[in-house]
Amino acid sequence: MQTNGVKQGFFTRYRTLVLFAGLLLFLPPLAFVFQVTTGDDGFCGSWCPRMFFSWRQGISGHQFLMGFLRSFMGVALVVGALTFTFFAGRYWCSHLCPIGGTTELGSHLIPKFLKIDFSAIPAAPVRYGYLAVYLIAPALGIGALCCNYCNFATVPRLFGAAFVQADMAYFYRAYGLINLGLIVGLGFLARGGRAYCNFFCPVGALDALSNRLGATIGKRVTVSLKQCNGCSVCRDVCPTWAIGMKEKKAVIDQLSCFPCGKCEKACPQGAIGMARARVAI
Amino acid sequence: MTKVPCKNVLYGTLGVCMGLGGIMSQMQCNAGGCGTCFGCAWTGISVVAAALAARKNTHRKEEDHGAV
Repeated sequence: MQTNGVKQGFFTRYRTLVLFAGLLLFLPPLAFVFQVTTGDDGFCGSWCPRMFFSWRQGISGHQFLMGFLRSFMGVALVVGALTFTFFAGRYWCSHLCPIGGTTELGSHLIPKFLKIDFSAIPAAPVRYGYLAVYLIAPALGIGALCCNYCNFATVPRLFGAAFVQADMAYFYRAYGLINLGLIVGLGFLARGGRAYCNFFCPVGALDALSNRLGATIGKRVTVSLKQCNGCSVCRDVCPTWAIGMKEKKAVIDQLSCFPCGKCEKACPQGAIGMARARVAI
Repeated sequence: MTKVPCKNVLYGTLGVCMGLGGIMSQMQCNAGGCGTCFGCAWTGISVVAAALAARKNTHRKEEDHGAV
């Protein structure tokens, strides 16, 4: 229960319900978004948000652009999310993404003593090291990471496995099992449920960059240094371990933060809110 | 010239290793080499190592995580 008097916006107060709605919209068995738009059965196809920005060695500029056309809904989703994030914050990741929503909601079902606290590992270096391979390896002809370890393929198949044999068969292959292990280990078993998002999602990595770049333009989750007393309660509740303590004040890393509102709700001083950040780039 | 913190380089390397592991596992699977997949093992071991390192660190120091 919120006792610090800070009034949060509707979508942040009811974020859990919004996340559930995202699951219904994007995941089997309902997957309304796909059914009413392109008729795809999931993110693989015209809704693919990961493949279009991957340049593979040997393809022409025309072929690269054709990739955009093939995944036109994925392009719209990613470009829309990045643009929205730049001006308003990472609401796709925090409120709508069915993948992160699944792991975060699922992690609530896991007892605390089973959870792993990944906050000791700085997320941004791992995330951008992975993104670097994601972008560079295909261009060098080493290989592609688009479909492998794809969270947008794995989580829907997790739901679909109960209904469709092909989805279940995905997990019979080694990389399906590894993906499942990553979702379980870095999702459900992670404190906050967002370690998979924080480390391995290329869409999230780009979204975080957009969040950081637009931090002086749009409102972001920020800490009032005057009101902060350094209690570090906010750091303990942050699902993406975006909050650190510096000189006994909380500081928020806009490369990892998304506006889930947990820190805002937990801060006993009411020191956290949405404002334009001062960013040293 | 700004000094790159060792921790960022170390964990950035971990991210790169994870990515390369993913690529190797894809190549092996495409070659029908399930069961002898170095890439998946590499990835799995990296994740387990990271998880163990995370669990061991029960005393979090106050530090700047690349803060704004």
